Amino acid sequence: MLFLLFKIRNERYCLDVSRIVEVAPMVIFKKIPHAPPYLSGLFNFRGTIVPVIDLSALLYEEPCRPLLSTRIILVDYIGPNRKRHILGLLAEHVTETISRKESDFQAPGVEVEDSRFLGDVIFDEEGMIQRVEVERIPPQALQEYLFSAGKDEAVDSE
Amino acid sequence: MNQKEDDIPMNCWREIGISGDFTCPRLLELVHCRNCSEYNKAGRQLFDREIPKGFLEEWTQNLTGTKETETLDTTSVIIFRIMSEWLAFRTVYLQETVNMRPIHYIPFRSNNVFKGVVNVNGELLLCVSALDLFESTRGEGRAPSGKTIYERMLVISREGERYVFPVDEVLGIYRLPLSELSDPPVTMSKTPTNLVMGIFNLLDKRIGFLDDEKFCQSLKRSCAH
Repeated sequence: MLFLLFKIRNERYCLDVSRIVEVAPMVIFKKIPHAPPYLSGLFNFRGTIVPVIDLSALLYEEPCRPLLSTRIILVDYIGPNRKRHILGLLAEHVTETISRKESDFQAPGVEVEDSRFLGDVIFDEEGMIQRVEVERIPPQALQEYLFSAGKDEAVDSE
Repeated sequence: MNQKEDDIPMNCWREIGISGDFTCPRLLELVHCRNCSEYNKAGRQLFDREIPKGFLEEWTQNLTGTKETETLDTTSVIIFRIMSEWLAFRTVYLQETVNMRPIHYIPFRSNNVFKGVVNVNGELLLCVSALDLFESTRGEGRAPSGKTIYERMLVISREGERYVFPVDEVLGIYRLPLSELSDPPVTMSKTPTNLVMGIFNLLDKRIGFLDDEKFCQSLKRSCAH
């Protein structure tokens, strides 16, 4: 399996590429007043309004630095109501992929409520890489209103 | 060899690497700096620059448009000419294109299709004449077009079997959308040994798409007796 590597602060994380629709560079977001700080805003992605979550702000309360390597990972997100949406994830150092087997991953052993989207771990010569589970990224508070006011196609029963 | 040198200079490839004095111990193993993680890392750091002016505006605009998608159902083919006939063969089975070289005749084995053996990079490969193969399967003669440009030999490899055959010209490698493939003329497809499974147009040429399985089988048969 192929995984996209990225960094949040200086920690490395990865995401299964089969969930990725596209990787786009930074754009100007439409701010949402009163939204939590980790919600960067909205942007027009090929005709669809896509909300973007800043993973750095979500984990460390500090937004991603505005560099060329900071990119929007557009993922295929299946909401709690089993509907499919495109969700943008802002992360740093989105420049590399890595090929690993599912069996190479090990359970981290701990799970913290506020970062429960961080899953199993692999390591290479440079250290550990933790896998990110797309569905678990939006915090409970956000899930309630994320994509709640939309009419999208239902997910095929897989 | 595996120790991590802490004193790797910045831009080490310019000092001790391929653009420097070649003293880097890793070069022994890696041969070229492009195989080294330090070099890779330095390249990726180029992306850690600040976003240039106008970039955000440009991309905000770019991403609003729909993406131009290519036809997914395509296959890569190498297109070549034998006499006046343009043919295409799937690139996955192409191993190499080499210059013309002498064919060593094998007494009692060579026939009109199996011509002998050819030396390709020190290996002796079976050389067949695709021209004679078509002549014998289709049984109709064609006049040479008379303007030979570049003769080449194609080395193909399919399921562990390798053959070399001379062609009169190689056009190049193209991506062929399978939807553009039309059936070969009925008179042709009725022949049991027909090797062309479809026809398509490219650059004002009508090109026959070879059935790789049948083609290789025919080659094998010619070499067998």
